Amino acid sequence: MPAAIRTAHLRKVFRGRPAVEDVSLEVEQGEVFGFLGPNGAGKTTTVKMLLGLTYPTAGKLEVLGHSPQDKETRRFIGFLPEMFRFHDWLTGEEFLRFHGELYGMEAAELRRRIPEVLEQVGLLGRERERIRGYSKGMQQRIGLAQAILHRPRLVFLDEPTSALDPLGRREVREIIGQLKAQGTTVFLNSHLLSEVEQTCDRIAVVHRGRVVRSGRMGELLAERLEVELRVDALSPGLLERLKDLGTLRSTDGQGAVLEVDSEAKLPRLAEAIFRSGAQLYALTPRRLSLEELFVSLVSDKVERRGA
Amino acid sequence: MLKVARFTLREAARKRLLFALALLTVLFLAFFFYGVYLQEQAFERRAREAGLERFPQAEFAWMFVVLMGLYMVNFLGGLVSVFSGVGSLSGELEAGTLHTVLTKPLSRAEVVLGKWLGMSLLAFAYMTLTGGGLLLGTWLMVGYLPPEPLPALGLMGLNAVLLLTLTLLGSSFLPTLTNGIGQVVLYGMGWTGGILGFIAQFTNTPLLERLSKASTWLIPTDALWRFASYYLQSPELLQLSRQGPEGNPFAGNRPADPLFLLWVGAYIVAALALAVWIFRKRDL
Ligand SMILES: Nc1ncnc2c1ncn2[C@@H]1O[C@H](COP(=O)(O)OP(=O)(O)OP(=O)(O)O)[C@@H](O)[C@H]1O
Ligand SMILES: [Mg+2]
Repeated sequence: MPAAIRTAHLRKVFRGRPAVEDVSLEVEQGEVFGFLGPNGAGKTTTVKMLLGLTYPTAGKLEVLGHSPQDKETRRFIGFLPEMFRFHDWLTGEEFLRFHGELYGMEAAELRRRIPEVLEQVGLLGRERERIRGYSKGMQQRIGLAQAILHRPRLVFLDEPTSALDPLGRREVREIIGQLKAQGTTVFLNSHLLSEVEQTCDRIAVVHRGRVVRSGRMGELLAERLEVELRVDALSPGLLERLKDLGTLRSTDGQGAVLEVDSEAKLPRLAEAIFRSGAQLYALTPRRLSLEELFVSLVSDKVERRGA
Repeated sequence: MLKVARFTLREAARKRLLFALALLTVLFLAFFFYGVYLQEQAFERRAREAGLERFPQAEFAWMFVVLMGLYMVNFLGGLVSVFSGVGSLSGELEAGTLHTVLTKPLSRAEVVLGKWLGMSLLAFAYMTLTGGGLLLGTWLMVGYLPPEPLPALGLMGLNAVLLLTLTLLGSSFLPTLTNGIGQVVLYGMGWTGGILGFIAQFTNTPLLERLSKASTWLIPTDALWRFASYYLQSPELLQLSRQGPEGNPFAGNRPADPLFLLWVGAYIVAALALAVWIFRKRDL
């Protein structure tokens, strides 16, 4: 079974300005993959290259083992764009039928499938209205229905919940769960990190067109710890030693908050404090949330660039 | 490809644009027929005053009226072509409606060709049906029919398809507004080329004449009308116009040159191929 997505040193330059510098990814089939990054990081550009809408300047890419230009392969791919706008003079049902026909679906299959997806995205009963009259969130829902209509093997969702109410967001999480249960690969761009944390198996974080971190969600979250220290007095010498072991987040005379990259650093912190002669009152490790991890990843990068 | 063509036709039928267009066309025809009616009454009055059964120059006058009427239809049909094609690719890309279509199992060439097919049919039908309606109405009212209406309508329809293809080509790489302006400028240039040719022969300026010839081949829209108009004139009138300078700006005096028609065909195919090529290369 080929990887659902494989890219190597993907690069895209728009009129001299790189939007994607170097993106190498591998997404296994059946995975829910989160592609994260700040605004302008190059997420949408990467998705467009993976869909064959935009041509890479350099690098290689494969979806489901083929070029994204391959017509047969596209039959198994679904896409909900970030800037979703559809032919709004169609009714929801007509829209789905048209897109189903473009996928090459039979009329009988469409008759069965359309009510199913309408139900899934919560638009059942509204399918005879024109899309023009839909609210923004309803339009995003019908777009999602369009993306999963043909039971694709790989779905690209570019910020699929940007217009949705909290209920809709939860429904999309459920839909992603159902897709995963059916063995569908989901490539998800999102800024809603709590959502990503709940749904994704693996993530990659891009910043300024480069992948700065990727891996299994659980492992990445275990990698970084925040440690809160309480001592009787924090000497300058000890502070220097702490800075060697991790990144100092904040400090006052009797304590510090430090970020370290593995649990193995915890005993070494205790040892350093002991050696300095300070009295240790508390050493509390805490796992970072995805949001904190994200912030530390993309702001680290800024600091390093500035230096 | 046929799915896209059918969709394009459905889109035109659904959108109010087509409705507005039909309304305008009906208005134009009504206006034209009212003019014909007034003219007919004037002729009858004058015939009565002279004690004649029929106004002697009526046939001749109707020929001019129909010629001018179809000239207007040709112009309107050209505008319809440009309007319907101007945003076909760029407009949909700007709106973002094409992205979900282009990721389907469908090549970009199929999307361009499908749109072309649908809109060409529309543009051709609009031109020939409006022109045909004008001829039919006049015939029913006053019994006048030009010598060879079918080749004339065919050439006008070809003109509509040609303009549409050029507009689609523009739409494959230009933003909608720029394309619209560009097409109108091109259309105007073709028209000016025709007039220049007339002036050139009138004043005997070979350079200007060559310039006009070049514009005729480069933008064949005006020449197509002049060929079409040949089939609308009686032999006597053609005889008369052959004595003066050639290439009257509003009507020609030569039948369609097969070589030129071949050129127009090749031109359309080449423009379409170029549109496909450009659209395939683009980042969307
Ligand atoms: N068609 C284009 N022409 C020129 N520059 C572009 C084009 N598309 C994207 N860019 C630039 O490429 C960079 C990456 O854009 P992209 O849309 O991929 O970001 P993103 O990660 O999706 O951001 P967001 O989170 O805001 O959606 C931006 O600097 C953008 O200005
Ligand atoms: Mg984006």
